[in-house]
Amino acid sequence: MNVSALTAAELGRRLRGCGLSLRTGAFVALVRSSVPSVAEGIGALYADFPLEENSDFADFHIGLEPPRDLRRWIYPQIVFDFDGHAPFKPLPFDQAFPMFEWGLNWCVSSHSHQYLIIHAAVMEKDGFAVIMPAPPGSGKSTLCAALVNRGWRLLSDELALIRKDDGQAVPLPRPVSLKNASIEVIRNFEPTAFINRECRDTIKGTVAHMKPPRDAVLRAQETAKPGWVIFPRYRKDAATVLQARPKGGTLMAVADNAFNYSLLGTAGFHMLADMIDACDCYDFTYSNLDQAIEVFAALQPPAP
Amino acid sequence: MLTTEWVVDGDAALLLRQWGDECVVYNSVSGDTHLLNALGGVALTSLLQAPATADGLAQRVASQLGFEADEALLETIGTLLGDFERIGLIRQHPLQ
Repeated sequence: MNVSALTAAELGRRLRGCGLSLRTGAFVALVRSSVPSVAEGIGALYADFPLEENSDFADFHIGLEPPRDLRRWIYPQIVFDFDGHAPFKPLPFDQAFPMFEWGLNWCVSSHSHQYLIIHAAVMEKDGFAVIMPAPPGSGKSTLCAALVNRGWRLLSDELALIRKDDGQAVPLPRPVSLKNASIEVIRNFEPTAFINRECRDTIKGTVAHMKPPRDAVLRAQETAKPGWVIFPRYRKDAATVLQARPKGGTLMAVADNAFNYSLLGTAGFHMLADMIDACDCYDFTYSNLDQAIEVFAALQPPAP
Repeated sequence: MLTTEWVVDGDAALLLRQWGDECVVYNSVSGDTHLLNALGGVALTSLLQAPATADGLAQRVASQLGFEADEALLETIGTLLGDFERIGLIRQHPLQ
């Protein structure tokens, strides 16, 4: 059964009560919250996601509730609870849904060391995955949102999960996080894409989330072979340029964008080096999304 | 004058990958990863095969890369060896 099978009332009742067992790719999150915006966000953006109806197990036990003290009346806030602990400071109450998204990213990146985890968007076409690591502000999520509306399958807009035993990229399809001007850019680029209500004045500015394409959710167990590592960089009015970059420097740069490369030790080095070995590596500068789509459509699979 | 030769630190368990002119070395003791240029990669690979004095290493590297083992190369190798020692890849050993 999917989230969409629940009425809004039933979804809210589950979230307030025993919790909602939500499967996102390889993980199950048991989510509890009495906050209406959390139910609204999950109902709208996770409609196609399966529920784990008959399982007592969840990878992450998450709660989002106001603090139980006077602050809830003076300055309404929200606390992210993970397994009975609050790993973050509270945020303003109206940021509850973004906090759910950020918190769930943290759960995966901090606890799932069976994977090499890279801060990167990942999309797939014809069995090959493009890994796009990049720091905030590089236009990674904007480009990712555009590509997944033009034939690329979304694996993740935030976390590349590379499996230890075979180097495959494991999907973690979730809503695509958009910030500030990129929200309007994607609304104009693909008017049929569903983007939820904007949340203003967060630490990242104004944020909103794009619903992942249904196909990406249905194929969430289908891994892909890394084929390209591309560092995107949005620059206003820049020409569209895809330029090969050396593999050694690329390994170093990807390691800088990995959450657990050092923690994995020699296994992490082998996994990353094998991935770089198998991929063609590029820098990509862009300002025009249509031209960017054309460049990505022309990518050739790496030589075996 | 005491002459020393340079050896790869026995505890260092280095892992190397070479791509064209670049070499990436992972030190499994420190957990550090280093990016080396072509000269650095050839020099370290050579030291992994057998210890060498600075002069001897310059000869080997020159032979492999088709350079002349002149003063400039010897000076560069000296700097490189100091860098390798500083980041814990190699150590000095008194020549028997």
